[in-house]
Amino acid sequence: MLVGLKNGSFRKFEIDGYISNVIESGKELVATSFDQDSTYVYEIIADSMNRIYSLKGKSNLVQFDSIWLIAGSNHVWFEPGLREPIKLETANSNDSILRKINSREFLLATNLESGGTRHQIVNLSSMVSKVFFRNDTLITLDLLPDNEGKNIASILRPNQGELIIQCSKTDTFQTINHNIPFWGHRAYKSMYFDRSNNLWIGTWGLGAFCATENEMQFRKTEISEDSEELIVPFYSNDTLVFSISSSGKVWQTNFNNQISTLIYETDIFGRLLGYTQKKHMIYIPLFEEKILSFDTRDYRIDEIDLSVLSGQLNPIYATGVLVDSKDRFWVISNGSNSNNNIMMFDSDELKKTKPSINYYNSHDNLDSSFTDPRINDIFEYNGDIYITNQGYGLFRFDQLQNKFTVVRKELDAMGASQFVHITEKGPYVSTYGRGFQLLNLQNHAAFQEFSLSKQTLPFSWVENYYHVQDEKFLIRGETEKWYLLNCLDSSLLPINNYPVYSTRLGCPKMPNFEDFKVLPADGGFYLFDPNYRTSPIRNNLIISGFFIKGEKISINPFRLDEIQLKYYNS
Amino acid sequence: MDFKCYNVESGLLENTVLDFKEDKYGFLWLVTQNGIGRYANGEFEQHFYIEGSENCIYDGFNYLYLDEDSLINSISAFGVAKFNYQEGIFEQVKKAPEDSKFRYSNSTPVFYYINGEYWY
Repeated sequence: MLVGLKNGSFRKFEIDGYISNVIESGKELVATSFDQDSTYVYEIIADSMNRIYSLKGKSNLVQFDSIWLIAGSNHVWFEPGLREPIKLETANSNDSILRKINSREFLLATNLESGGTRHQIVNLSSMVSKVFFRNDTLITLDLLPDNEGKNIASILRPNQGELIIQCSKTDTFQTINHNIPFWGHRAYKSMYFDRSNNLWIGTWGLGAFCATENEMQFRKTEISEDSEELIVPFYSNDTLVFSISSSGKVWQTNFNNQISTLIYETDIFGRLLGYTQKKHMIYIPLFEEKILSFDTRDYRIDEIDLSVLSGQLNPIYATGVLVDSKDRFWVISNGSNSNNNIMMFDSDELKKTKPSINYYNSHDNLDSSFTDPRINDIFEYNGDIYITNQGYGLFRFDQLQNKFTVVRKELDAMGASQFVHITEKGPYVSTYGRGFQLLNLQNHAAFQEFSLSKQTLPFSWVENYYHVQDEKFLIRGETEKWYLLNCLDSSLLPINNYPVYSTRLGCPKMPNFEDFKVLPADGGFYLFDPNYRTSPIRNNLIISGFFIKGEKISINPFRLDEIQLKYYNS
Repeated sequence: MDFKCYNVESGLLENTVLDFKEDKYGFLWLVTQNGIGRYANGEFEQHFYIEGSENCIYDGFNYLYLDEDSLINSISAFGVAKFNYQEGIFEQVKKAPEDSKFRYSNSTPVFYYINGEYWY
């Protein structure tokens, strides 16, 4: 039974099975339900007229995605065997949803493909994470094996005012030696680390158990094929019992009646593509001339509709937003040659009815050699604004001429992909053909070049990179292998040369599969919208997860038969 | 090192513990099948009653959530109750319909607070 108290009166809907999840979206209430054996999953939709729609499907086909998504992805994939992306469609604004987000009554789930795609440490087609904003503690975690059977844990969480991604790869975990007479993982009903870092475990029928993390005894176990049951994925509907200790370890129950935490081999951090952070504000580019601002203090989300500002910009794929030291907004895009590729406006213009906006494109403002419209990245260095161009390298904004000019002639022929890391000495730039470079922007030369020609890399076509720590970079080139590059002492440390099987390499901002009608930027919001029911997607199941008032409700799978994810543009 | 066990014999209301919540005052709240227990200073205080009700909060499933002030609220078959820390009781702020029935699956709660409204 589903009963709702709405507008002062209750509505009651009789359904079979357990209700496991409820969301309200726009005019509708959506619930998922399982029958007694959890064999079938139902999706129940009640519209504003109290009409009930129900869908039924096998629940054991579960793969996942999120319903409330932040941090976005430019391609959402389901279960690897399906190899079908969810089609993201444009849609009208949904003020109701935005209000709910702003009110924090719904919180946000995310997938990390935005960061993960950039890092390409694993085939992320099956790596979708949830984000739960909760008092600035950990907000998302996912744990999935990669194609080599290794396990990847990803966390996206605030760190000193910034959202960072932490990916860890491991094949070792730590298990608590305990003497709790558990008879199965279903006996674990709850876990909680209190403020004194005591671990509380609620059980089914055995009471509550308590221990202090510092006093726990552990044993290490290698993750192997035989130990799959020791890893309980967080997207599993079966077991959602986990808690985070003050040391940051995420402890979870497993299928082997134990409580484990992963021992991370490598921590890797990276910024989210396309984002910019200004104090407590995070700005996220969206498809169709929109920017979302996200206030980390109160989680308020607002939309900046660039089309309302001018209607002239046509960045087909907004790839990034920069708010520079002068409070100017720069929006870069993967526009076509006929379009404006870059727009810039002062933040004060947002308050005006007719704001003044500057546009830059390959015909008028950019250098004559700049014919490729794809702007990959933008950053500020020593007060200057730089962009990387897909085909023609590095450009700097000339304030006097009000145009972008090439600053690296020798880079013209190769193209620059991204600014990897900015140091006091200069920025590191990854390139297509000249490897990995530490640039001297004073004389337009390079301090260091890591490439095949310099015999410092086995490739010169850098397809991806990952900032590990202390200016060490895990980079990947055309050899399909990762190499660890230590830029501090110029030594090359090819310690990790395992292959990466991801098929989503190349420019991480430009998905290349066909039939992807709407292509959002890396940073963006996605919304599962039950109102949208055209072009049914078959055989796709999603897991929904959200928080209400800071409390975890559920992460449940349900089937997408007549429902699509659409790109949420407001 | 062993886990210390808290069960009915040591004062816990019921041996199935579905959830934990910790409020702004550091009280640890345990949700059991038969009611709500509050743990502090090594002891359990529990079986909180809703003011004016004849029974405990709910002789079955209760769902606790922290409000914006990190104070404890409860949703149960009796409706929504807010804990009065001075009086040490839950006070009902919203009464549920009499024909309400409640179910839950695994540890998934069946109560939802959405946009100022309660769904269950």
